[in-house]
Amino acid sequence: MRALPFDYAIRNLGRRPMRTLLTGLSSALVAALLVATTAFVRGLGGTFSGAAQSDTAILLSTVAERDVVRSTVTAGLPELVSASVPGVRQIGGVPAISAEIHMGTNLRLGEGPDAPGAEPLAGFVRGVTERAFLVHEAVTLLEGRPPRTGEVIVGRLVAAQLGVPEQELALGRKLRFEGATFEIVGRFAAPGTTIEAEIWTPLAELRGLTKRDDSSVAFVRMESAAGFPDLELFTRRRLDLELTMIPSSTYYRELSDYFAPIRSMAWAMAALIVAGALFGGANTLNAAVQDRLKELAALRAVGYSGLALVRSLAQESLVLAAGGGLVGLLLARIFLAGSSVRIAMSAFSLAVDAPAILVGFAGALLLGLIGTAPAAVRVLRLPIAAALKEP
Amino acid sequence: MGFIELRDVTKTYRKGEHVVTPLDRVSLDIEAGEFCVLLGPSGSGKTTLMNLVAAIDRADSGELRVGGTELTKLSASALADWRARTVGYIFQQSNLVPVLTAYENVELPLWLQPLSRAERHARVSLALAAVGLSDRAEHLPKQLSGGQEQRVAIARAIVADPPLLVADEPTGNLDHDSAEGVLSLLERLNRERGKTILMVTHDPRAAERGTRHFRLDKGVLAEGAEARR
Repeated sequence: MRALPFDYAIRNLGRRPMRTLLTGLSSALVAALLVATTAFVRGLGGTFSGAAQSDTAILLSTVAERDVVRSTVTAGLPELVSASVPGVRQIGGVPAISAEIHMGTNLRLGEGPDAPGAEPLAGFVRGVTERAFLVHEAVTLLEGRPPRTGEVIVGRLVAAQLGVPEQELALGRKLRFEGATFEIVGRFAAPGTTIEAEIWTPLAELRGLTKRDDSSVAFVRMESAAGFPDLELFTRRRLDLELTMIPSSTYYRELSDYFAPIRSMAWAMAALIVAGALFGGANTLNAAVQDRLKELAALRAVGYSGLALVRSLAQESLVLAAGGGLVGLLLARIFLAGSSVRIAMSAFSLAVDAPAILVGFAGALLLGLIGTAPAAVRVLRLPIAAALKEP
Repeated sequence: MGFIELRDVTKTYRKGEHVVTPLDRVSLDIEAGEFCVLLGPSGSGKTTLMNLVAAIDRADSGELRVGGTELTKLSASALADWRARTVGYIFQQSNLVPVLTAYENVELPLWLQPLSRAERHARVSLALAAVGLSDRAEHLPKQLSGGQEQRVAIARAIVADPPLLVADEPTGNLDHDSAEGVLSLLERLNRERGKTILMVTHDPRAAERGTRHFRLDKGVLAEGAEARR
């Protein structure tokens, strides 16, 4: 098949500048939307999978039905596990077992008094000991130091989760919750995990403030996953403790599955919008063919095959889709990269990474290609003699 | 055996509820190098006959052979290849591609052939010179007069050196001087380069340039002096 010169496809884009511009913008929006959706879905999914560690299990109460906030376990659980279960990882001679309180609470910024009508902010607080840093290996202090009494450290997505400016949570600023005031002494990262949207404070103080003498859960880091049966055996033997053991990978996978409908909804909405853009693009190209029926018929009369004309149309459409797609990717990069999304008492970063960019660009190209289909059918069925009589 | 042979060629199409027969069992023979003129009232089937010979339409029945090739048996893509090699089509309106320059429009048929850029350039330059438009090569169609556009269309029709030129009312939209220029050009192509030409026209002056005349009326063909009246 001999093809029309590539220039023909390119110059056709200049025939109707407004139509070209709008179609290009449509491609840009599709690319940006697909990047956003992929970044959202991957960010949401990665948040949970990122927190999972293959060598770590969670001990929580049987009655809590795998809800770490509702769970209560005895305060001395780390010592009991350490003494009874072989295979617990030791780091610097310290067993990597972290008893923690997990709770959602109302927060206020600063030392007060609050402005009239100011609403408290819903945040997520984790009471921890220094052993938490042995267990949650993703956590890294970006600045400051671990918290002592009357102090907190905040994850780097807490500001996004609370919906407040970053500077409100700078080191030295104050936070109030559970009737006490805390100074922010550190800021931490835990890339790709929900932990980044949490506030960490000393476990002992949080117990006092919440008038409880237990913990929510204990994270136990084993030498390897092969030690989980021993941990499981421990929970069965100590029926008095009413414990359940869940590998953290299982726990976070279930949590991720819980949000599957949200991810599906995001894809569904994206698909609807892309379908709208697809029909719009197809209609535009079909209109372009209608405008050029006589010219296309003349090209057929000259000797070009229907497929050669379809190829030229596809080139035209793909060039426009690629151009628009690149603009969309640029917009996505500018407006989405580094941003985060609030979800209940958590937040996660949008994963504007290579796969998201690839999906966005491939989506825009596919849109351009599929959008050619109706016009292609029309060109292939073009009755040359009749089309030459078109006004 | 003629260069163009039609045997009992019939073409029908539907127009609403009616079946129209623009060509009814038409037979004719045209030798290579003839300048034939198709005359007849509107709707008599002139353009239909020309379109069948140029292989841009298909007959419903009969045999149609051009340059030894039986056109009724070829596939759509084979017909496209055949057109590229055999026919130069000159339309009533120039039908130039508006986004391409005169040079590029003339070059279009050459993209269908395995030619180098230099070969294409040589042929396009020759074709533009033949129609007297070498100095308009870089002009877009909208920058040309109607007569110039039609001459570019003729250059496009002859650039691949096809043995057959078909022209559908080539002077229909031109003023007197431009029409004279185009007709003289066709006459020269026939006389000097031996092109077989099949031209549809209503214009008696244009018809006079032909060496052989056919008249179509209600799909039936007549030939000779009677046809010219």
